[in-house]
Amino acid sequence: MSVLGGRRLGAAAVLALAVAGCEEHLTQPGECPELCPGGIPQALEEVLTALPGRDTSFTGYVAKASNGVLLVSSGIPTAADTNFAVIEFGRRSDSIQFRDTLRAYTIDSIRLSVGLIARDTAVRNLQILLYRLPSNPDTTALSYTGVRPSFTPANLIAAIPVADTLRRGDVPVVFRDSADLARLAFAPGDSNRLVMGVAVSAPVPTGVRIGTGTTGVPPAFTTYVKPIVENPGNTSQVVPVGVQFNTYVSRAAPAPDPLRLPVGGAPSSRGLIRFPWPAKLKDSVTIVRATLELVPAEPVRGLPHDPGTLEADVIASDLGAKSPICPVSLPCGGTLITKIGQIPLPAGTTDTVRIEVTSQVRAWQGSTPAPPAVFVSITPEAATFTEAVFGSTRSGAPARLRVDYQPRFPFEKP
Amino acid sequence: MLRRLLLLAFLTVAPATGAAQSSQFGIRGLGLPGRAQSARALGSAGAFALFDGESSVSPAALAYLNQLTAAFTVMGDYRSSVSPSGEGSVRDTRFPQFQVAGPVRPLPLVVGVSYSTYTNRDFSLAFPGAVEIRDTAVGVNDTISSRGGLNDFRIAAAYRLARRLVVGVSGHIITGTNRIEVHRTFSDTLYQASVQRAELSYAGFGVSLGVMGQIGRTLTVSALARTDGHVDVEVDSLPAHSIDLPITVGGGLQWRPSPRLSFAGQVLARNWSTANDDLVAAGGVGAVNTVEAAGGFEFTPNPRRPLRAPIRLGFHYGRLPFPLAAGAPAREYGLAAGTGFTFAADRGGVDLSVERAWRRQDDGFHERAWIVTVGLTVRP
Repeated sequence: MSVLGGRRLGAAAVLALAVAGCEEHLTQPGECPELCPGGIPQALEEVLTALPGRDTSFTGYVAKASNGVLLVSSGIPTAADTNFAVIEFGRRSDSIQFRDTLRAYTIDSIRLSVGLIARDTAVRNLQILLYRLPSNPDTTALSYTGVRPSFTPANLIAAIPVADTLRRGDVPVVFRDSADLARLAFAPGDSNRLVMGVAVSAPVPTGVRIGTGTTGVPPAFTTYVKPIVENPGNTSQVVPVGVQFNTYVSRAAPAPDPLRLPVGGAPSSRGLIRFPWPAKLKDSVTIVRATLELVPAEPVRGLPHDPGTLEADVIASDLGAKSPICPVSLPCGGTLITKIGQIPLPAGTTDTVRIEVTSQVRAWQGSTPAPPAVFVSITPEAATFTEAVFGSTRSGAPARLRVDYQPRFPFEKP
Repeated sequence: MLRRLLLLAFLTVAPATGAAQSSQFGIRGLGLPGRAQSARALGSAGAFALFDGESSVSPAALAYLNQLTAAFTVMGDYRSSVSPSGEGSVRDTRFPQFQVAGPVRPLPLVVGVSYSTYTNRDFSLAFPGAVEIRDTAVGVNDTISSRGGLNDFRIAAAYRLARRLVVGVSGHIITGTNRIEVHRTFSDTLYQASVQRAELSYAGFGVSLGVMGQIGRTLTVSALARTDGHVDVEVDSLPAHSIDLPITVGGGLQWRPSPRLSFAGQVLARNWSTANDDLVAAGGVGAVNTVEAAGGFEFTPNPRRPLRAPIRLGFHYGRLPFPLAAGAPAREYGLAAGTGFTFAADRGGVDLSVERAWRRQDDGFHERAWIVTVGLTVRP
C-alpha cells in the first residue's frame, strides 16, 4: 500500500469512526443476580387509613342553579324527590318600534323553550311540562311547598314531548292559536312578566338537567308580533325576553349527616380527608400508584345513565373548608399535578369506590410538600343529580389510601 | 493540508460520550479497568505500552518524547454481549486517553499531564418481567443505566539519569462520577413510570514510579510500580464507603533486532483483591487479583520516518478484576493490528488501531468486541 493510499484509508476510517461516534447504543439484556448491581427495584405497598376525626364534610361551595344547570325531576334522585324549575323572564315590552314610532302590537305567536343538557337516555316518552306561575314570586324565599300548588293542570301551559333520540339541545313549543295564546296572556298585575315552572313526566321516575339563563342553551320566551297599523306588512317582529331569575326547588332537602361524608348535592358538599403520612414515604421513595378508596354508606343517589364525576383533589394548604385546591397542570408542593383524580359515579353504586390519585399523592413528597389530605367532590358541582354519602372514621368505614411505591434503589451497591 | 486540518477540527468537535470501552464485565465493582494506552500502543495490543510516551502506563516512557506533544484518542466499541438472558449488540464511542507532554530543556527532563480512564461503568441493562402488586402480577420493564466511572489525572515527569537509564515518577488524582438511573415502566397504565437517579462520585490519590534502561544496542527493559491507596465513594454528595485500590507492579521488554522491526512484551499485575472486602461489605460481588500480559511487534517500512505507515500487530491477555459472580473468574483476550501516518512535516499524526477482543466468564457470560481506536497527535 502506498503512503498516499494509507493516508486515504486512514482518513476514511477516522471519518467513519467520528460519524459512528454520534450514535450510542448500550442496552443489553440484564441477568440477575450477576448483572444486577443493587438488584431489581422493589415494589412495596402501604395502606393508610384516614386520621380519626380528621375527615369532615363541608357544605356551601356552589349554590343551586349557579353552575349553569337546573335540575328537574320526578322521583329522582330518590323516590321521594321532586324538583321543579322556576324561571322568571324579564318584562316584555308592550310596544314595538315601527316606522320610527312606538306602536302597540298584536301577537302572532309565542315560542317557549328550555335547553336540555342531559337526561336518562333509557327513559322513553319523556315530557317536559311548562306551568304558568304567579308573576311576582318572592325569589328570596322560594320553596317546594310554596310553588307546588301552582303545578296543577289548570296552570299547565304545555306538555312538550321530548324525542327519545334527543340527548341535548333545545326543547321548544310554539303557540299560535288564540286559545293557546290566551294561556300566556298577561293580566294587569303581571307587569308583562312571565314566570314559568318546569316539571318532567315519564312512565318511570326520571329527571333532566336544563340550562340556566347563563348557558348556551338558556330558557327562551320569544314573542312574534305585528304592529297595529294600517299596513303592517307580512313580516313579524320578534320581541325576545331574557331570563331574569331561575332556580329550582326540591321536595327533599336532607341535612348533611355529620357522622359521615356527604358529597355533592346543592349547595354542594365536599369531603376533606386527612391521612397520616409516614416518614418513609415523604422522601426518596417513588410512588407508582395511589388509590383512594371510599365506602358508600348508602347507594349513590343520582339520575341513571347520567353519572356525576367523583373527583379527588390535593390541597395546597390545609385551611379546613377553605383549603385551596391544587389545579391540574400546575405545580403543587413542588410537584406538577399531571392528571385529575376522578371517576364516573353512577347512581346506585354500593361497592367501594376507587379513585386513582397517584399524581396528587406525589405532591405530598419533596422539600415543600402539600398537606397529606384530599378534597373529594362531585362535579359538575351543584349541577348533577349525583349525591353520595361515604363512610367516615366516625361511622367505622373510613377512607383508605393504597400507596404502591418503590424504595430508593441501592445505587451504592457495586 | 487544508483537508487534514478540517479532519483534525472535525475529530476534535465530533460528539461522543463516556470514557473507555464498555463491557458487561464492567457492571460490577468499579467497572472495567481502562488501559491508559494511546492508539499507537493499542495497535500492538499494548505490547509497547511501557515504552510509549503517549501512553500513561509508565512515567518513564515520557523520555521518548523529544518535543512538545499532544495526543488525543477516540475509541469506538462495537460489542456483542451474551448472558443467560440473551444477546445484546452494543456500540458506543469514547475519549479514553489525552495527554500533553514535552521536554524541559536544557534539563534531561520530560514532564506531562494526562487524563485516562481508570475504570469505566457505561452500561444499560433491560429487565422485562413481572412484579406482584395488590395480589396481581403486573408486567414491568426495568432499565438500569450507568454512565461514567473513574478517571486518572496524571502529572508525570521522566528524568534521564544516564544515557541509557530513565526514571519516571507521577502523581495520580483518581476522580470521577458515575450517574446511575433506574427506570421502570408498567404494562398496566394505572401505574405510573418511575425514575430514580443517583450520582456516585469518587476521589482518590496514587503515585507511580517507572524505570527504563537500555541493555546493549537492541534491548530495552522497563519496570513499573504504582500504588493507588483508596478511593472514597459518595452517593449524591453523602459519604458512602471507601474502597481500597490496588498496587500495580509490572515489567516490559523491547527488542529491536533491526531498525525496521521491534518486538515487545509486558506483564502487569494488580492486587485488586485488596478491594474485595470493601466491595463485599458494600453489597458487591468482590474483586480478584489480575495479571495482564501483552506481546507484539512493529514493522517500520521507512526507519527514517518511523511514524509513517508502520505495521503493528499484537495480542493481549488479562484477568478482569470484578467477576459477575463470586468464584467465577472473567478473562479477556485480544488481537490487535494498527498503523498510522503523519502530515505537516510530521507535526501531526494519526494512528489507527483495530482490536478484536473476547471476554468470557465460565457460567454463560461472554462477549466479542471490535474496538477501533484513532489517535491524533500534534507536535507544534
